[in-house]
Amino acid sequence: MTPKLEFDTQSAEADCFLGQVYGLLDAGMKDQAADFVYDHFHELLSAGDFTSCDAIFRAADPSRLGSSLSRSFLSLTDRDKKQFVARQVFFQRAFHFVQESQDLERATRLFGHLA
Amino acid sequence: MTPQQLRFPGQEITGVAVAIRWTGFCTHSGVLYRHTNGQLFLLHLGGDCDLSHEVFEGNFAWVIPDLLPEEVDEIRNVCRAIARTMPQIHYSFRFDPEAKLDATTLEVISQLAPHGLTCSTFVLAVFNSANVRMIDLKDWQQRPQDEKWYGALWRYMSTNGVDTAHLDQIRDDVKCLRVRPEETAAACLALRGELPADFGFCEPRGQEISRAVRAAFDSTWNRSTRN
Repeated sequence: MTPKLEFDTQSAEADCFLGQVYGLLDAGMKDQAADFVYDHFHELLSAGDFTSCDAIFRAADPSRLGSSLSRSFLSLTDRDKKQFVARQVFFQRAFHFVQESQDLERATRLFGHLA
Repeated sequence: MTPQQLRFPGQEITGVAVAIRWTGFCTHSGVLYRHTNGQLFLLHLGGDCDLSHEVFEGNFAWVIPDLLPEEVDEIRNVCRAIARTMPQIHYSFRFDPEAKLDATTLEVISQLAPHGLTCSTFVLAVFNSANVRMIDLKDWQQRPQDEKWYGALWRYMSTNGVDTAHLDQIRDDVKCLRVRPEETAAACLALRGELPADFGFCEPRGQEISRAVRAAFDSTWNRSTRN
């Protein structure tokens, strides 16, 4: 049961983190949201906590994050991308979101090298 | 290059730009960016472990790169992250076109050139950290005056308190390829689809930029000495 409990805790923490990010974005505080994302990912990556990052990738909604912040999620984790399970699926969702909302050329330019 | 592309104080920067000036004996570059609070900040590497983040006072010209808004956002995010951490960055000559600042520690990550950056390659590393590649080094040319310049800088550093272990590490790098500050600024003149810009694009435009900022410096200097 312990792994499940840990997974649940990380999911709850990811939801809490994303709730704060969406809140800042909804309030028009895009830069503050980005700073919060940067600082949070720095903490997780510095601690080698890749499973918490994965929980964020599983729960994050690219259409709520927007193209800039979705790109930040991928940029910040690019160096360690082999450590993640859910990052690739997040990448596909983010790419699809930009392709649908804008176009394929833009999606490729923004995300193509971050797979 | 049209005069509108190299801009001087008084013209608006909404996102990011590469700043360039003539110091009196060399060109110097940095990243200009619009902070959340609306102020324009200059982030630049002035020397060994001498990173500065300051409100822009207008003493640089600049070139605004042709980037997507998301790329501009990301560069601004990287600049603010650097400003919050202010990492110690050594001054070093060898340039790796893939050099970035680490997402967690903001230390320079580069397999080819791990010892540090110049003011010019610091700008390129900031852009790289936002996954925006400005320079293509493939056909970059070695120029004899660059080795002379790096040699003079190394000697200056060796008499101005720079750590001897670091000086030993970079001694042989004086012979490496140099992307001059004005060439980093010149890369910003490329259209989005032309990036990363190569030597053939950057070198002649860099010379034009260098002449323009020298002329601006000379006219300011002449005005201030007359008054």
